[in-house]
Amino acid sequence: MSISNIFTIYKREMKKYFNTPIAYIILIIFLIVSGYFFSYGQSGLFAYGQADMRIVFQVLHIIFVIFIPAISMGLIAEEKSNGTLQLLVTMPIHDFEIIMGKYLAAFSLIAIYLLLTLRYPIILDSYGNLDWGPTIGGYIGLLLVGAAYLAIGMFASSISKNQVVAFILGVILCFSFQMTHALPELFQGEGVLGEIGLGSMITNVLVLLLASALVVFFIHFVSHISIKKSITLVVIALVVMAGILALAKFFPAIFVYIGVNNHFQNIARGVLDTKDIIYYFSLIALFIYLGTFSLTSRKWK
Amino acid sequence: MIRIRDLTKLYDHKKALDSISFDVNNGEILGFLGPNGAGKTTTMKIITCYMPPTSGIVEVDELNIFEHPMEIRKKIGYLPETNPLYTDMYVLDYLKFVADIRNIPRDKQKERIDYVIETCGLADELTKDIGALSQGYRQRVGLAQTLIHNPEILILDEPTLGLDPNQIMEITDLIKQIGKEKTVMVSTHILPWVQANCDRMVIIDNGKIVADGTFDELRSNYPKPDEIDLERIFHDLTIQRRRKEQAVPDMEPTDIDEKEEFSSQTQNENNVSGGESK
Repeated sequence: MSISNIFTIYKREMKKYFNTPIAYIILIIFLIVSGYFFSYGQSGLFAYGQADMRIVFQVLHIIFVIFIPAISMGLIAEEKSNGTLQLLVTMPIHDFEIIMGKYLAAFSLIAIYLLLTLRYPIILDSYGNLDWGPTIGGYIGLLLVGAAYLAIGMFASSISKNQVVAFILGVILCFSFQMTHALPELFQGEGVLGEIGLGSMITNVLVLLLASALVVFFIHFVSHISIKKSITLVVIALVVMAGILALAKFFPAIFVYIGVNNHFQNIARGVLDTKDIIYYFSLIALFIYLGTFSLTSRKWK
Repeated sequence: MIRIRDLTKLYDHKKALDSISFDVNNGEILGFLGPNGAGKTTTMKIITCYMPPTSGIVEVDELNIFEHPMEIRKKIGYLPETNPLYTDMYVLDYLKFVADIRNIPRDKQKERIDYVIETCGLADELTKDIGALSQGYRQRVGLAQTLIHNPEILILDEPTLGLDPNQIMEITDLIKQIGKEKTVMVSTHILPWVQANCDRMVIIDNGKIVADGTFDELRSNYPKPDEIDLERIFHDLTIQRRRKEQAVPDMEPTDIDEKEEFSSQTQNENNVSGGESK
């Protein structure tokens, strides 16, 4: 591994971001959305009337689910679709160096975007008494969540040739990590599956069966997979879902740990715990590894 | 030199390359010919360490592709099929980027970049977007990229694809000039050029080598070799052969005979092997 190779790729990606309109378009959308939630909205500055960034952070960390895959979708899929990947990987450079160069460039872009939102706490501080602890914590949390989603989005981009597919896959994966912590809540107290009567149970099962049948036919007609195979696919999906739900009922702590949200809330409170930081770094390392693996896996095709 | 022995590549059980063997000798220009889909690009992708073979040995200067992929990549300049380029970059920026990835030291970069600009005639296009270049100039940029690190071996996959006759002449002249100093393996469909300029030619069809030798060697099998050109040889070896193979099922009598012979043979073999195992 050589740092200079990573830096070469990094420079090239950064130049590309600022030579093409895409980075600016995403930046404008990002600033409009974050600006809206900072000043207006249900809990914006004017309605809420407090020098507090917490709600802006909450909103941003949910927007990241869509925003980060939009940045990462082209990282590898684009090079695949126009063939330049073949050029790149036949040069004397390791796949991991390509991935790292691209990852760090996209991360810098996210950091620059976040830097531009620093004016919100500065405005707040000049009018009220801003608590800088949670504010700095919030920014660190956002950087970590962004870095994790970026690794996930880049992995999605390395699987597909098509940027739109990479984007959708990235959003689905990020959304899953965003919502995992909420799964056990379905079973608690008045949750959807908390206390369920026999009558509604039967209706639910019927609805589920009907939906499954529809999905089977959909798969069959859209992708020309045989009925038998589509049924198997749907049954496997149902069993996996049931397994996940069962896990969520009996071991809720796992889901709270796997989800991004709980760790973010800890950091955003201003508590920097190594436990949360280790969580983010392992998530990033896992998906960077998967991305490199998927890039190298052309070798088995 | 490149040494290929028993190279086989399977794509989902379909044989793209079927146990091919040949050499590319130092200093020669080798024309690598064959119909589309014959396996030319696959062979080149394997030599350049883009993907590994299913089985077989490939060595570049006695370095094995599995053991020394990075060293091999440093020795080779590769122009992939369809010449992919970063269309958002300026020509000069692109050449600098490639020089950086090729780890050319800073103090030598200018010299190398000036050299490829001059060789490939890119002096007037340096500040243009690659995306705005004509096909002919894109091809020159692609060639410049392969030359920048002064490689010993050039692998060019259809460098004349999509060019008009004038541009084809410019690019092939360029390749000829480069080929004086380097080992070049070039795949192309411009057969008269290959006939006139390549030291040797290898013809591949359906994943198998059907001819390997100098032009004189290839035509020596014909009764009047002087009247034969490379196009004739190419047709005979690729189209005619395939027609003959496809024609077999139509000739019913021979077909039935062959089938019967074949099935009785296999039955015997089965019996023999069954007896042995018991």
